Amino acid sequence: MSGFVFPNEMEINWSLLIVLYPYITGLVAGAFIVSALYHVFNRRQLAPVGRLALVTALSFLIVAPMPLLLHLGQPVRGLEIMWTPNPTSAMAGFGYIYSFYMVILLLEIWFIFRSDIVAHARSSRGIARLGYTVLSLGAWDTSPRTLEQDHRLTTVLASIGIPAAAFLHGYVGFIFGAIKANPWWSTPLQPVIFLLSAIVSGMALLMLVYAVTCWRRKEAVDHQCLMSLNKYLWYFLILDVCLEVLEVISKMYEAEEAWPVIYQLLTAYLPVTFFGLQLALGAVVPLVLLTVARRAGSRSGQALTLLSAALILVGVFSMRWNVVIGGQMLSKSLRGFTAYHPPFLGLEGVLPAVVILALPFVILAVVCRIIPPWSQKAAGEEYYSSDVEVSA
Amino acid sequence: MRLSRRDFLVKGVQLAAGGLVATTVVGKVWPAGTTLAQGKEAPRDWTRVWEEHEWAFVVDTRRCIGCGRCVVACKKENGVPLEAEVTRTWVEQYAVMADGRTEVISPHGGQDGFAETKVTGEMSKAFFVPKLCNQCEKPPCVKVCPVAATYQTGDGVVLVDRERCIGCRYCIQACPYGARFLHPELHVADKCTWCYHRITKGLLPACVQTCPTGARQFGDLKAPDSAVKKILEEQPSNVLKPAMGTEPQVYYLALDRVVI
Amino acid sequence: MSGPHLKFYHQPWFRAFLLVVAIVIVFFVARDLATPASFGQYGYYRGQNVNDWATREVAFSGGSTTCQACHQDKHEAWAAGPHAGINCESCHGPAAAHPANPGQVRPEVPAGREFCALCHDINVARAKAVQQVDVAQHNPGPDCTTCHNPHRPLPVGMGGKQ
Ligand code: HEC
Ligand code: HEC
Ligand code: HEC
Ligand code: HEC
Repeated sequence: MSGFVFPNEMEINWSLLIVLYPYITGLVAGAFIVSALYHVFNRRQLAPVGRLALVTALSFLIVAPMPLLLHLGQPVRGLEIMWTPNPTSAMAGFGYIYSFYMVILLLEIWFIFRSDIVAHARSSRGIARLGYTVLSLGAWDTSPRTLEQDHRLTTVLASIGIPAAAFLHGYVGFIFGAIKANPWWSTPLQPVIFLLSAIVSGMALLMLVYAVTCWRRKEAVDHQCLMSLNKYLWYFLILDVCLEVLEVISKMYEAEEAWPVIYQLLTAYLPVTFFGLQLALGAVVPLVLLTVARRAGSRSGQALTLLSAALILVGVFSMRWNVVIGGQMLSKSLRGFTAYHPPFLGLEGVLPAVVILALPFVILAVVCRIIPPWSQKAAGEEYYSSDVEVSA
Repeated sequence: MRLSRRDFLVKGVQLAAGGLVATTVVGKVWPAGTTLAQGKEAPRDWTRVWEEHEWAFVVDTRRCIGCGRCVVACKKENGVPLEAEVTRTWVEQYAVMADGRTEVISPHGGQDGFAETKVTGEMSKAFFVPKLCNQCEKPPCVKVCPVAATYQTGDGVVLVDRERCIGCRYCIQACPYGARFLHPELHVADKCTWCYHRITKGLLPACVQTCPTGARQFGDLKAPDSAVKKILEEQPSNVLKPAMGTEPQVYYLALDRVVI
Repeated sequence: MSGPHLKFYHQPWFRAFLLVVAIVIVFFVARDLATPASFGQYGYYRGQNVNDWATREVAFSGGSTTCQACHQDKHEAWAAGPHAGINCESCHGPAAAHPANPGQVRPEVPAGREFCALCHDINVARAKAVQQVDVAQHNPGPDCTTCHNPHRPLPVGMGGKQ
């Protein structure tokens, strides 16, 4: 604490867990957009990650409400947001948007993987057979005609999913952007910035997940696919950075009442995470590396692309930190700053945060066992039916 | 006006739920929750009561002596632990230096008073400013509550339903005045209620009653010979952060421009 | 959508549709059960909560007149002196429960020089209307109450201390 902060601001109210929440939903939105590029916009190069993107989005979506719930003062009352949502609250939408999106995503995954599920049900026995039968909802028909129907529904669902994903994350930005009381948060650009950084981080995540799964399965990374992701990533990243910088510049140029404190916040309290991690390492360097990677050889090109992806993940995390924590460091008295150092243990410490961040990967591994998302070499045939064995 | 707004809100939810089933917002089966009060008074018809009152709070910064008795009284009246840093009301001490610098302090919310001011350099003026919830006419905190656990009563006081608050702290973020906090023991949002349990019994808020100098005054603008109404009619007054558009109902007399 | 090859209820879309409908029904039933009875009584919130707040018990009594009947002497002295503007409970703390049970529930009895210093110590920000003394310099040592009657604080020899 330095300068004067109001007595009720001695401690930060939204801690590390609330940094994780927009970060994780962002990853969901980004991964989903990649799958939509393939399933709706028919970007064939993305076939190798089309299905992987969906199950990745699902794994992270399952975990997304966890940091929120853990952070509540009264976690058991969390469902009240479903029973009596306040229509004037930006946050009240969470329950409904989340549920809606979850249903859409599950349906889309179900239709895409249904023939696989049926194949698994047919080829397995015992508990596994029962499990797959339940998963199939008893719809075992895999005639080309039914599959064609599935396919059409998938496209519809994915098209609904795009605005849902955009909404899910754009509105997280709105939660912050609409707080007039906080000069660092309050800007109409916030939802757009959150959405773009979400897409960027989700793509970066997917690239890494894809690379790791390839490596685990001893398969070559599809170079075309990775480079095409590289290009999309670059486009979204440049937009994202421009808006992030624009936001700060306009605050400065308008010489807002709070600019002196925001300036102090950025230069004295967040210089490393804002200029260092968010802008330099998380944006400028990846922009350069991604460009270089497209011109480099196949091995080094892939390596550079993946390195950029990792940097971007760090950068976007820093961005979330700078918004969520930075905004609360700045006192509403405009005369001081509250310090924040997350504890290691405890409900809101670093350890639970790490566990929460690791959880989606565990879920992803499990999901990949149940319904392997790997496409066969005949990429593009998303409703192929195969007799891939479920490795026990 | 209130009724039409309520209708609008109800409509909003039904739409949000997808308009699939026309349900009334009022559930029938859930048992009425246990009340947080021991009092067994028969429930009143509040719409009738609310029509008769319009509360207002006046703070005269020239009279405040920074003794902090209001802060202590508030905490004791409302069950906020004395040792907690958080508080429903607090007192700030301002010292404006000759060179224009402003030094503000509020050690422990001012509840233990203020030690002799130590100032370096030449000082041009110094004064105390008591702060509390402004019971805004357009409360941003109520707007953002996701579960409708905080609301504005018909007589203009913003309350928190302790049985329904989920402790998300969005309201704390939305308050421009830092008036809200998470109750350290109950883990729900807490804030000044203008001692709603006192004013509805015809008593003064604890902070007003214990103020030794009359720096805090409270009254009903609809009362026949309301003292606060007279003050507000006769003296220039101001509110905190008017640009926020919250329309506070705590009016400050002799409010210096350095006060935020 | 249902082709002739398969009855509609065997088709995947119908199975999924059923599942979604089931979820929606469960949701509405749960919502109806979970919404508090008085929700919406006055507005979009739980109406009963207004009573919850209004019926809370007070800690501070209605005012100094509450104390008059039993502490006649104190009240008389107080009402005539310069502290008359200060509520008894401002110094003595919450005492609403005290009259019913004076032996058990005892209000605080403030002591020590720091207590009077809260209001009387020198502070540049303090309104000049209140007499300020440099507590460290002004008759250091004994409690202020040895010379000043807290209820009618006029110096000894001026009729203050009884
Ligand atoms: C019903 C009569 C009654 C009323 C009303 C009453 N008191 Fe008392 N009070 C007593 C009695 C009797 C005692 C002495 C208790 C004892 O010593 O056992 C007492 C003692 C006290 C003491 C001394 C406690 C101590 O520990 O020495 C204080 C201070 C006090 N009262 C303050 C107040 C204040 C302030 C009020 C008004 C809110 C008040 N009283 C109202 C009856 C009353
Ligand atoms: C400015 C602060 C102040 C105010 C106002 C005040 N008191 Fe006191 N009171 C004291 C102090 C200090 C003592 C302790 C006196 C002592 O130690 O000799 C005390 C003592 C008492 C006692 C106990 C006396 C004893 O002999 O133990 C009673 C009873 C009491 N006060 C009642 C009242 C009542 C009733 C009022 C309101 C009419 C009142 N006081 C207002 C400061 C105050
Ligand atoms: C809650 C604040 C408060 C406390 C505590 C308090 N006083 Fe006072 N005192 C006042 C106010 C207000 C006045 C009236 C204004 C004035 O005349 O200074 C006053 C007046 C006085 C006066 C008369 C000054 C004069 O010349 O008119 C004396 C003496 C005094 N107090 C002594 C004490 C002592 C001794 C104590 C501790 C037992 C004490 N006060 C505690 C607020 C307080
Ligand atoms: C040894 C007795 C004694 C003690 C102890 C004492 N005073 Fe006094 N006080 C006096 C006398 C005598 C006067 C009047 C003469 C004067 O102005 O110095 C006085 C005057 C005052 C005045 C009025 C000043 C004015 O200019 O009119 C205040 C206020 C006061 N005292 C507060 C306190 C406080 C607070 C304490 C405790 C920190 C305290 N006194 C302790 C004897 C005492």
